[in-house]
Parts: sequence; C-alpha cells; structure tokens
Amino acid sequence: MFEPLNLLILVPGLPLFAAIVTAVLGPRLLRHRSHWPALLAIGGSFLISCLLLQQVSQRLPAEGAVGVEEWTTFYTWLAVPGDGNGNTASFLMDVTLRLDPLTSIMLVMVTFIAFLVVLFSIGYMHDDPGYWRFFAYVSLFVFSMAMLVTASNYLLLFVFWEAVGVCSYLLIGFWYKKPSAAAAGMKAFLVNRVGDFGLTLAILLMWLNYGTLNFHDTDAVAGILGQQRLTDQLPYLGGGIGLAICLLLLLGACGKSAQFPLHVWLPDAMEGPTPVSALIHAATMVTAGVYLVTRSSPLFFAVPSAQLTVSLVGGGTALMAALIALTQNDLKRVLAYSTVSQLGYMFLSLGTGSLSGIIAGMFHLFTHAFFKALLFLGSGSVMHAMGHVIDMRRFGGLRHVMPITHATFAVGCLALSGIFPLAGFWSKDAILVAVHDEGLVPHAEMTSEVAYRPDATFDIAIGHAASDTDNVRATIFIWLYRTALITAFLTAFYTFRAFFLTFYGKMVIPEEAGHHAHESPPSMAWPLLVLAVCSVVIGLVGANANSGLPAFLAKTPSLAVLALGPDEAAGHASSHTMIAVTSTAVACSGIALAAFLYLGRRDEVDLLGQFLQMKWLEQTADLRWLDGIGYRLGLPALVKVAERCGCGWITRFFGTVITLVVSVLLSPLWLGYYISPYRLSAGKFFIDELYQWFVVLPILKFSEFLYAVDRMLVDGMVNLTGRLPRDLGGIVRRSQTGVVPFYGLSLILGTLVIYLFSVLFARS
Amino acid sequence: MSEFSTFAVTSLLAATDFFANGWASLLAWKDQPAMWAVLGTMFLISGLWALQPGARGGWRVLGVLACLAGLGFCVRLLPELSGTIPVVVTFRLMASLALVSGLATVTAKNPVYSAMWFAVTLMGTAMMMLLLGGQFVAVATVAVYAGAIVVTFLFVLMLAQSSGRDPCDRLTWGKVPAWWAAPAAALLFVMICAGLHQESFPNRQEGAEVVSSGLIESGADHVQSAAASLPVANSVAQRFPESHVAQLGGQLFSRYLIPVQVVATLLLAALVGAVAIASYGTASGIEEQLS
Amino acid sequence: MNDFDSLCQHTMLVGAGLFALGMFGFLVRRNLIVMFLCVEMMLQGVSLTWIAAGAYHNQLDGQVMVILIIAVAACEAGLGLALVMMLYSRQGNLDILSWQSNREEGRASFVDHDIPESESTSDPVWPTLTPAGVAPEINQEDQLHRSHV
Repeated sequence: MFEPLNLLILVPGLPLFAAIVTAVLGPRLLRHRSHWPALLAIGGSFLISCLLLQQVSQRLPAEGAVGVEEWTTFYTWLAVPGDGNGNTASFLMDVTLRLDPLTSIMLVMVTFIAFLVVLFSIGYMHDDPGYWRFFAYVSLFVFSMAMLVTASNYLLLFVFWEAVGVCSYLLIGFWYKKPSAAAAGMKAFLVNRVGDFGLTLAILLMWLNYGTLNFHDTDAVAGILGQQRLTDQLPYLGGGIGLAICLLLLLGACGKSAQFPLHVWLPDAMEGPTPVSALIHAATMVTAGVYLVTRSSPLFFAVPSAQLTVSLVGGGTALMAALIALTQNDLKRVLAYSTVSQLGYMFLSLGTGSLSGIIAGMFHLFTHAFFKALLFLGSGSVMHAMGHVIDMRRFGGLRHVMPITHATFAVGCLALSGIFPLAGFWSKDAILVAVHDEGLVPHAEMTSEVAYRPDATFDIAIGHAASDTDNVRATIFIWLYRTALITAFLTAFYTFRAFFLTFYGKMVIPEEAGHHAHESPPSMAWPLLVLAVCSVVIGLVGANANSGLPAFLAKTPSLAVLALGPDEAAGHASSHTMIAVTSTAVACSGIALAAFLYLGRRDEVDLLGQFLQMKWLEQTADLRWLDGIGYRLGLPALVKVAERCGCGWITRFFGTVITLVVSVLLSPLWLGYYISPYRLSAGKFFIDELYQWFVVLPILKFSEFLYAVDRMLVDGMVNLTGRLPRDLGGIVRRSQTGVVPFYGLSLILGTLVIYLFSVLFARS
Repeated sequence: MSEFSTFAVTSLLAATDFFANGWASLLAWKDQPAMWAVLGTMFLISGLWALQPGARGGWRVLGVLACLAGLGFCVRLLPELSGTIPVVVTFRLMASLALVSGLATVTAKNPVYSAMWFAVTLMGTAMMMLLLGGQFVAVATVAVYAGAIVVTFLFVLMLAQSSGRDPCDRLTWGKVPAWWAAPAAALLFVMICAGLHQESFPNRQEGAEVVSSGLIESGADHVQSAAASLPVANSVAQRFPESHVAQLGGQLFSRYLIPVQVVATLLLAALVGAVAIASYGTASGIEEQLS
Repeated sequence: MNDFDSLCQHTMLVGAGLFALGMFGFLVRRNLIVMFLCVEMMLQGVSLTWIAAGAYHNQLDGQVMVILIIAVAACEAGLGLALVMMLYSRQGNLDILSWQSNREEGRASFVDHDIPESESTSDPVWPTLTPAGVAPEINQEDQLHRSHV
C-alpha cells in the first residue's frame, strides 16, 4: 500500500545525494553543469513535499488525539540501556522523521524557495571558479534544513540546527579569499555559538526533567510534544526550570533568527553570494528560530513570563532593526535589517501565546519567505548588472535599464510594506490583530483558557487571576502594538527609500558595471517573476483565519491543543477592520514620505540628515565661544593688569576653573551630538562597538594573559626539561675534539684506570 | 687485599717519602722493591718525555739513557735471570735490541726509518721466541711480519710520502700527550712489571697441571705428549719435546680448528675489503676498475 | 725458581716494554703509518707475552694464539693500509690531524702553532750528468697523469 510517509526520507535524501554527487563529480566532470544535480534533486523534493502536503491536509486527527501527526523511525542512532535499577534512564536516540502540517508547510516553502534560488544562481554564479562548490553547499543546506524541520527529536533537531549553521558559515565565506567574507563567516559562526549554547543547555534540561527528547510518544516514554502530554495526562514544567528551559530555547532561537542581542551577525552575513542571502539569510535558515519556538509552544504556554519575553525581544528587535535600516546605504544591508525586523515581528506574534498569534507568526514566516527572497534576488539582479556594486549612492535610476527587476522589486516592496492585497498585508495584519487583541484580553478569560492544562503551579500562578499582573501584561501589549505600527511605518519608509534610490532619480551606473549594464538573463528573471506572482497571491491562502493555511496549521499537534481553549479573537471582528485600515494607512504614509523625500530632488533629505545629526549641538558644545565672551568682557586687559601686579596665577586659576565647569555643564551636549539619532541609526546603535568593548576585548585580554602564562610557565618548564640534559651534556660535549689521538688517549687512560682498580681491589 | 695492591700502596708511600724527603729517603727504602718501581716510573716518564716528537733534539740522548735506567730499575723487580751463559747473553742482547729498536721505531722522524727499526724489533722478538721454544712462530713472525707486512708498509710509504719530509712527523699534537701519554705508558709498564714481581707471580704448578691435562685430552693420538708426565723442566729442550712443532700443528687443526677457520675467513674478507677500499680511494673508483 | 721460569718472566717484561712503547708511540705520533707501526708493535708485545706464558705453563696454546695474532695483524695491516691510501688520496698527506671534522660543532679545530722549520728548505739538487745516448721521448700525456716527482 502506498504510504506517503515512505517518501518523506526522499525530501532531505535527494538534496543530500545531489550534494554528494556534486562534491564528487563537480570539479572534474560536471564543471559548468554542476547545477543540474541540485536543480533536479531540489525540484524533486519540492514535488514530493507538495504531495506530502496534500496527503497531510486530507487526514483527520486520530481518535482521541489532537492534531495530525505521523512519524517514522529510520535508524537507531544511540541506544544506551539504563542500569535496570532506575538509577539511570535508558537513553534511546532514534533518527525519527515526522510529518505534520507545520513540517509539511516548512518543507514546501523551503524546497520551493531553494528551487527558485538554484535556478537564479545558474545565471548569477556562472563563471565563478567555485561553481560546483556553491551548488554542493546549497544542496547540503537544503538537506540540513529539511532534516531540521522534519526531525522529531530535539537532539536531532539540534544536529541539523548546527548543520544549517555550518552551511551558512560555508556560504557566507564562499569567497573565502576576501577577508571581510571570511571574517563575516567567522562572526556568524561565533555569534551562533552563543545561541547554540543556550539551545544545548535547554536540551540538557529537558532531558533531565522530561526524560526524553522525542516530540512524539513512544511505547517506553511520553514525548515532550506527544499526545499524552498534550491531552493533559502529563504536566508541563512551570516555575524556575520551565522558565529556564524556555529562555534558553529563546536564546537559541535568537541566535539563529538574529534577534537582539544576537542579531549582529546577519547584516555581516551579506558578504555571501546574494542567492545565499535570499535563501539562507532571509527565507529559510533564519526562520529556524521561529520554527523552534512555534514547535515548542506548549512549553512556552506553561510559562507566561517567557512568552512575554519572546514578545518583548521580538518587538524591540523589530523597532531597532527598522531604525537602523533607515540610514543604511548598502542595498543588501537594508534588506538584512529588514529581515531582522520582520523576524522580530514574528517573535512578537509568537509571544502573544494565543493560537491566532502563533499562526500569524508562522503565516508571516511563510509570506515573508516569498517576498524577502524576491527582494534579495532582485537586489542580486541589480548587483549582477552593476558589477557587484551594492552601494545605493553609486547607482540610481535603473528602472529603464532593468524593467523586469524594477517591476518585481516594486511588488516585493509593496508586499513587504503590507499594502492590500499583497502577501505582506495579510500576514502583517494577522500579527497586528493578534498583538492588539492581547492588549484587550479580559482577564477572566485567561484562567479559563489555561484550564485545560492541569499544571498545578501554572494554575496557582494564574488561577487567582492577579489582575495587576494581567493589566501590566495588557499594557505591555498595547505598547507593543504601537511599536509594531511604528515599525510598519518605518518598514514602508525604508523599503521605498531603497527602492527609489535604486530605480528612480538620475540614472547613475558605476564604472564597475562596464558597458553591459543590462537586464538579467532569463534564468534569473524567471524566478523573480514567479516570486513576484507568489508575493501577490500567496497571502490569500491565509486571508481567512478559519480556513486555508491558518486552519491547516492549526492541525499541528502542538498548536491544535490551543484550539481547545475558547477563541477569544472572535469577539473583536469590528476592531480587526480598523486595524487593517490603520496598518494600510500607516504603510501608505511611509511610502508617501519616502516618495516625498526621494523622488525628484533630494534637498529635504540633506536638511533632515543635518538636523538629525545635531550639528548645532556640536557648535554649542565647542568652547571657543567662551573666548569671544571673555574678550568682550575685557578679560585680556584684566589678565594683563593682574600679571603686572604679580598675581597672574589667580587669573589663570580662575580661567581653568571656569573652563572645567563649563565643560562639565556642556558634556550632555557632546553626548547628544555623538549619539544623535542619525548617528545612532547609521552606527547600528553601536551594538557592535559595545560587543567589541565589553565582550571581545576582555576575552582577548584574558586570552593574551593565558597565552603569556602558557608561554612563560608551561613552555618554560617544558623547555627546562629539554635544556637540562642539553646543558649538562654541554659540559661533556667539549671533549669531542675531533683529534683522533685524543680519543685514543681517552681510551687508554680509561683502560688504565679500570686496570688499576681491578688489581687494587682484586681478591687474592 | 691482593699482594699487588700491597705493592702499589707501598710504592705510593715510597713515592711520597721520596718527594717529601728527597734522595736521602732512598737509603731507607733501598731494600724495598716498591722503591725500584717508583724510581723506574719516574725515569721512564722523564725519558719518554724527552723522546716525544717535538722535544728539543739535545735531550734525546738523555732521554734514551733515562729510559734505559728506568728499564734497569724495573728489571730489578723481577727475579734474577739465571741459566747458561749463552742463553742469558743471547737473551739480554736480543731484549736490548728489541727495546732499543722499538724506541727508535717510535721516535724516528722519518717513517721509513721507523719501518726499518720495526723490522729490527721483529728480529729481536723472533730470537726471543726461539729461545722460548717457539720455532715455528719465530719463523712465521719473521716471514709474515718482516717479510710481508713491513714491506707493505714500506710500499705504502713510498706511494704516499715519497718526499719523506712532513711537519707532522716532527710534531705531536699540543701539550696533552706531553702530560698524559708518557705517564700512562710508564705506569702501564711498571704495573705489569710489578705483576711479574716474584711474590705476586701466580703459582705455576697448579696452572701446569690443569693445562697439561687439557693437552693430553686434546692431543692427537700419534703425538703422545710427554709434557704432562715430565717434571718441571729447566731448559727448552726439557720443556718441549722434539716433535712439538708437529704437536702445534695438531693443536691448530684439532682443538683450534674453528678459530683457524674463522681467521682464514677473516683474511679473505680483509683481502676483498682492502681491494675495494684501495680502488675506491683512488680517483677512478671500483666500478671503473671492474668495467 | 728455575732458569727457564726466569727467562719466561724476563721475556714477559720485554713484551710489556714493547706494548708500552707501542702505546706511547700511538699516542704521540701523528703520521698514520707510524701509528700503524706502533699498533703492530703492541701486537708484537702481546705475542711475546703469549709465547712466554705458554712456555712458562709448558703449553702450546700460546703459540697457537700468536699464529692467530699474526693472521689478524695481517688483515689489519691490509685493511688499514688500504684506508690510509684512501685518506692520503683525499687529503694529500698522512697527518691524522687533517681529519678533525668529526668534532663537536662550535669547537675550534686543533691547529699547529709551532711548525718547525724544515731541515732543508732548498730544493733538492740533482746530480748533473753529461747527456749520453738519445734523449728519451717524453709522452706529454704521461706527464699530465704523473702525480709528482
């Protein structure tokens, strides 16, 4: 009997096979045909993923179970038996792949985007000496990413979490001979180590407290996200341990998904080839953190404070990244900060803790993948035409040169800004609705919502419905909603700023482009067109919250459990229309501001920039005006008189004192000048510098200290053991004269001494 | 403590006394053989010192005299040489010849003279071997050594140093041998002499019995050894029978068969080795020689 | 102590004397061939001692040993002289001190500081004879390959 689950292994398997084939045959045999294995394998994976999606969507939950899920074990990786006395649990680690709505959606999204990106790369990467290497890495990445989303086990998930990190590292540093690319790869890897450290600790804590790492139930033990736990037979941990697990998971997610404070690697990761930026650093890998939090959402339900943290981190990151994106001059960097900002949106939504919020986050992840990949591929097309120049100040007015890129980029920008009826509108609207509703949550409903969870600690914590706590939470979400609206405005503004700078205004083409500034070849244009169409229409799958994608996602076991609670969102349908209108209006005003500033002459921009740089603060803080005042007051004459009288020191003393006092008084002005809004934004809030000063330098100094200890103390002792015999031997070594008779003399004298001793002490 | 060590300690005491109290102390020690050993050592040291290469020419005669004097003192350590006058006279003559020509071998400035003097030494040695009944050995020494080896040496000298004048023949290597070589040689000689001293010489009778029995066992049937049954003989004729050369041959090819074979193989190997080395050493090389 | 025993003992003394002299010469001489001669003299001293000891003990073993010694000495002389020839062809003289390269790194080599004046510095004077007969034809190639006169 045909069982779709048997095809599941092919989804990661085909790209792995392609990666091996490309790596083995690429450099010698395939050469400029190296894209074929990747293209065919990823295309095959996409088709199988669609088939699986269709199969999953037809299934109904099993009897007594929440959600639709299937899993199959391919291989027993680790099997450590316990000691039988119950002192140590048996440790069984299977390679189990699962299939549920969340996984199948992720698989379809990943393989589709990857297929288009590979198609795009054929044109983009041609003539690159590492052509086969690129496709081998991309195939390997698709394999890892597919395994990551299908793994039914936290440890297996962690393995492929690291594997996608490795692929990301390899692809960021793809042009490894370029120092900045190598450094960016290193930075991404090291920053991710911090997040992975958190994830490791979270996995260890889960192992200690739940006794398993499986998502699903097995005969021996109930899985963490298994049916037994979901259908309220076993509690989830609350309290300190639960909070620790959730925050550590969040730390891991922050590292992978570039959330504050671990977002610093993503903008640098733009050193990689642009298709990689589109695939890994916009559409797929960076969403792994969102996937992880979504997958683990039952764990987060048990700890409301952790959920709030997720929202705060997400909202803060969204706003901060959007602010930074305002002033970036690098097209890809604007998009990178935009990605960080949109990921922040997703986290903000996940943290609401309501079903609609989480589904909105996943929905935004889904739509964002399309339009962000479109934008990145569009920027790649621009880069390709501009001779790999990406600084927006060096080109402009490209709309006639690159019409297809222009049109598709415009669609991407509109989708990102959230203009009706493009993809971004629906998902962003869903998020705003979820966040907005969280600010209105009537507190009595909170308790009933969580009543299905028999977690004692949780019920006690929430059950008495400390209305103060809930009011504070509601207030926070109101503010987060406002933040999200501001971010939406900023998003529309910076997106269209980049758009206008690139495609409008006077036509400027950098000399690197040569004479062939042209539209991209069909292999690059077609993916753009396909993605543009998707960006327009894909939002419709989630337009209605009760059918389509949201309803499908809601059948995921770890999300389906939320549907058991009351649907609090139903009552606010009227406000939802208001929110849609508001967000569209905000986005339109952002676009309008961008058009006002960047279309036509750009005089106002310079004025605004100067104002935001607060040059007047610098002028005020400059102490030279004191001299003028002193001159007008006749102080020089006074000083001369004082010196005549022999008490010049008094004037000098008072002069110094006055200067010092004024300097101290004016120091806020200096500070204000140096952290003026423009500088803060352009300087990326100085987070890299703060890391440099407070993390990198102390570690560096400490390592230098340890190095000195190692060199002097340890090496000294080792060298001493080597020196001692050598120097002792040096005493005797002088006897090696090279004079042969001297050796004879030594021989004879030695024999004589032995003879003398043997006869003197012989027994007669 | 062995007798030898007693002797050595006494010698040290005598030497200390001599250095502390001068020649007068000799009278007190004159009956002590240790004193002869001390004096012999000192004379030999000074004699060899004066004779080493690079020493001033005027000292050579004195050096020879000092060496002879030292030798004389050392001879005093041994029992008196007794026997028939011809034997004693021949022995003394040959011993002096061997030692003096040996000294000349060592000190001659011209290596050709050294080789000649060495041939003379060999003659004296061969004569002494003859006196002790080693007839075959004496002839072999003369034939092989003087006839072949020394001639080979002379050949090499002719090939290598036809001019005959080389600074290295009139020099030693710095001060080290001056301080160490003469004392070492003198001390070794005197120590052996002290070992030959009457009181410390091993008992011959015990040794003779043991070795005689071995001789009978291993001797060939037709060479009936008379040695074992003989009383302790007083002359060569008494000690070795007429047929002792035949006995020597029998020993060589029965008891010492394997060493003889080994030495024969060694000779062959040395022959091949010498040819190889000499051909390699010359400019052309052995491959060229063979081709 | 009978006559023959004393003869044996005195022969041993001569053997010891030859041994010591040979040893002395080996240490102080620098000519490779003379050093070889000195070694041969030490062997001679040992041979003499073997003979005397054999005679003292009324045995033939000493003489057997001497025969073996002669054979070994012949080997040694053959090999040694071949080596001497080789060394000479490399260095052009027989001085043992021209072979000091086996010394410890950093140690200065031994250099003669007091080379005595050669006894006759002038070139040897060949007798002048009135030419007689036909002048021999000198093959120039042979002249080239002669080592030296």
